[in-house]
Formats: sequence, structure tokens, C-alpha cells
Amino acid sequence: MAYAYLFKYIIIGDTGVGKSCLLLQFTDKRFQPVHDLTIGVEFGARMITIDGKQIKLQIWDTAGQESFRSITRSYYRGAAGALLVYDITRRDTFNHLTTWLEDARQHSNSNMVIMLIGNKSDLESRREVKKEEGEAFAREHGLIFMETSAKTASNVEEAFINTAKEIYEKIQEGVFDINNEANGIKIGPQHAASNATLAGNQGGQQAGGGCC
Amino acid sequence: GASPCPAAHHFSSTRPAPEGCMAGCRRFHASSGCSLFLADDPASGVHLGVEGGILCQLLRSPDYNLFPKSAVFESNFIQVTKQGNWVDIHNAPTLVTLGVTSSEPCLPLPNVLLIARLAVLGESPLGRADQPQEPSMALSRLLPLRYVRLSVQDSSRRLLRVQVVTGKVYYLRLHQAHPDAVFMLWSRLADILQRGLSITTKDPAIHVPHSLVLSVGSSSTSSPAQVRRLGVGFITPGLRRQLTWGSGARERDRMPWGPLSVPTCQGLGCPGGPLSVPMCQGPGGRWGPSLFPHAGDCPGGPLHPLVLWDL
Repeated sequence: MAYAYLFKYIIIGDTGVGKSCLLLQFTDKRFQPVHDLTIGVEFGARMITIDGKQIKLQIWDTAGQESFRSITRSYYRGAAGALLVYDITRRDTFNHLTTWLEDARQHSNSNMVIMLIGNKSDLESRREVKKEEGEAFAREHGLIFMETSAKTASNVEEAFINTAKEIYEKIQEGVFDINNEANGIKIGPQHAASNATLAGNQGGQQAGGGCC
Repeated sequence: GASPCPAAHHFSSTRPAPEGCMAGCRRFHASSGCSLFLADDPASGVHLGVEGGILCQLLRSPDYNLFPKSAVFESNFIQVTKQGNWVDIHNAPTLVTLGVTSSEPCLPLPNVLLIARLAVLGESPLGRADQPQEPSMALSRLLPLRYVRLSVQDSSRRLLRVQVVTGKVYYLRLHQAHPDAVFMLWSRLADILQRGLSITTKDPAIHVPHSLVLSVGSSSTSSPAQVRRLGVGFITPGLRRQLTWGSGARERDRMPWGPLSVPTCQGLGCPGGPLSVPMCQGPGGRWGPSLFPHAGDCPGGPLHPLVLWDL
């Protein structure tokens, strides 16, 4: 399908915070409570519309386990956006954000938009990290912030789309050099076209799920 | 010199790739020595459907632009159960394309496994340029091969077993459209990935100068690390030819994976220039290409950090 832009996203964060579930919810609109441990990268893709332009999100879901961390670092290359995910019911996943952020900053381009996500917001009774703490961390480090639930789909669309909006705004402002592929943005064949307004989304494509 | 496959077109899943891409791939493989097949017939891999296929084109499309200078060995499979039955609950075949490649073209063995799903099956799942209908493809997984164990489950049924480090096992039956020769290649690849490769001067099939160390005027007091690197430089063009596919049936039988043919590693990938094959001492103390060489072993110093994939 023709698109105006392609944005590469990377999803990072500790193991078990729900990275793959977020991807599956966003691309397939379904929740899978048990998910195999991610090794390497699982890819997902979906078209969205921003400012009347078709934008393809190419999403790289990475392994969160410490033992695969060195490999994950190599996937930051050319990412325009990152979803940094923690689990609101596990304080340790929040405590590790600084390390993830350092990694992301060090191995990605400086303009990469980072969305901080506190996932599993449906598990309010088990909450260990207050929403205010997430907001404060995001504010301090210049990130966007949302709490989501991959299970109920709460804010999942918004998390992906708002990140894209931020990237799109940076393009409009000239912050991103769209001719430099290292920025994780590719211009598609449909770049010139389109008049419709506002963000929305259109049916998607697959994500790494079911089969191998 | 080597040039990447010029798949500059937008990857359109339903349209066949322009012939130019295939031709570019052939030229690249032939000139770089990275061809998986007979040196005198670089197109044979394409005709077998395992080289320059849709996965290769997808990887090199602007959408991904991954491993642009590395050869990609790929085939189509149907995911099945251990018994060989379809896994899909709707009793429809689950088609996947399996491919291996190298994060750096200078690596002697592949270190990346790719899994893509064929969304729509056209009449020609082999992705050959001479047949118009091609399936659409979505890349679904990228796995460092060090976390995967590839083996033959049942050669009579052309069944591969893919076990991921987590313990998850997949069974894949080679698509019927592929000839048996393709399954043989996968079998050899699995064997090599498991056992590794080594080159020894004791092997009479390979003509190697008596000393691997002395002929470049290097000091005999070189450190082991120096020797290791210098040793690379002693691969003569003649030896290179012998290590390349197509140099003789015997070599072919032993070395089905072409990149052992000492890719020339030009461009960003290997600033060390030609003949920069990372070597290491194998478990048996023999010199040879490492099974899963670290990209940092690339002679000529560290690569650009964005290029070097720590796989």
C-alpha cells in the first residue's frame, strides 16, 4: 500500500512488561495473555493517517531480557520513534528506565521521539508505580508519557499514533532530515498527495504472533 | 567492485521485482565472491529460487534496507506439526519464507535467520523473475542464529526443525515447488551451523602453501592475535578459488555455504578490504572461520557503530 512516510519504531523495556502484547493489540487488535519470550526482533506494521497523509509504521519489537540486551542495542539504528515500556505493577521495571534510556540515547539518532509507557493500567489493585511518577520521569527526560493497557486496549492506539504525530511535527518543523535514512523516516511514493485532515487509523497488517 | 543489489524500487508485494534487481544481485554475488552457488553460473541460485528471491528483495527494499551487501539464502516452507500435518486450525497451509544471511558480508557464515510470512500465495512461491505472480510478504522475525538450532527432522519428508533458544520448536516442510536439491542445501547448512567449518593444511583437497604464517614477510614473533589476523592474508587467489563453490565437486560437498569463498568485503562493511575473513581457532585447535564470529573480529578495526550489528 502506498504511503507518504514510513516511520520505524522500536519497542524497548524490561522483559514481561507487555511490549509484544502492545504490538499485537495495535496491529491485530487482540490480546494474548501468554506470549513466548521474544528473541531477536518481531516485526509488525500498520498504516495510520496523520494530517491526511498515509503513514506506515514499521515496528520492531525487541527482546527485553538482559542477556539479549547487547543485541537489542543494534536495533536502534534508524528508529524514528521508541516506545519505552515499563509495568506499573513492577517497580523494578520502572527503576530500570534510566538504563534503557541511556541505551536508547546512545545508540539512536538524537531526534528519536521517545514515548514512555506505563503498561498494565488495568491492574490498578497491583499498582506499584504511581502515574505521577511516570509523568515526572517523562517530564524530567523530555519524553511523552501515557499509561496503557494492552489487555483492554486502553490508550494503545493513542500511544502509537501520538508518537507518530510528534515525529510528523518534527518533520514539519524541519527537525528531521527526511532524506537521511538514519533518522528512521522514509518518504513513500504517496508523499505528494492527500488532503484529508486529522489523525485516525486504518486497518492494519499483522504482527508477530501465531506462527513462527 | 561490489555494489548492493539495487532494489531501489518500492517493494510492492504483488508486483514482480524488476529484472534489474535480480541482475544486480547476480552481479554483486558474482563479483564479490558471495555467490552461494557455482562461480561460473551465478544465476543458478536464482533459478533454484534460493537466491535473489522475494525475501532478499524485501530486505533490500527501502522499507527495510537490511544487510544490503550480504547474500541471502531463502526458501519457502509450510509450517507443520512434528508429524508433518498443517498447523493451521482452518486446515490451510501456513506459508513462511525462511532465510539466512550475514549481518556483515565479510562473515564467513551466516549469523542471522529471517522468517517472513507469505500473505497471499501466487502461482509461483519461488519468487522467480521469469514468473509474473508473486506472493506478498511480511517480515515477521529476525533471529540471531546463535539462538537458533537448525536441524533436519525428516529428510524424506523434507522437514526442517527450527528450535529457538527458549525451547520453542517449529517444524517446516520445504514447499513442494522447490526441488530436492534445495532441501539438500538446507541440510548442509544445518550441518555446518551445528558443526562449524575449519580449514586445515592436512586436508589434501585444499592446496595450501606450507606455511600460513611466513609468506607475507611477517615477523615470526607475531602474537597469536597478529598471526590470527595475518593468517587471513595468506589465502591466495588460488586457495580462494578452491574454497569457492564450483571449484570442484569435493569442495562443493564440503562447503555448501558460499561466503566461505572469502568475500571481498568492500565498502562500509569491511574497511579492512579484501580477504578479510575473520578467523578463529576452533574447538579442536584448528584454524578456521568461526562458527558465529563476532562482527568485531572484522579486520581493519571497528566498523561504524551503526553498521556493526552485535549479533
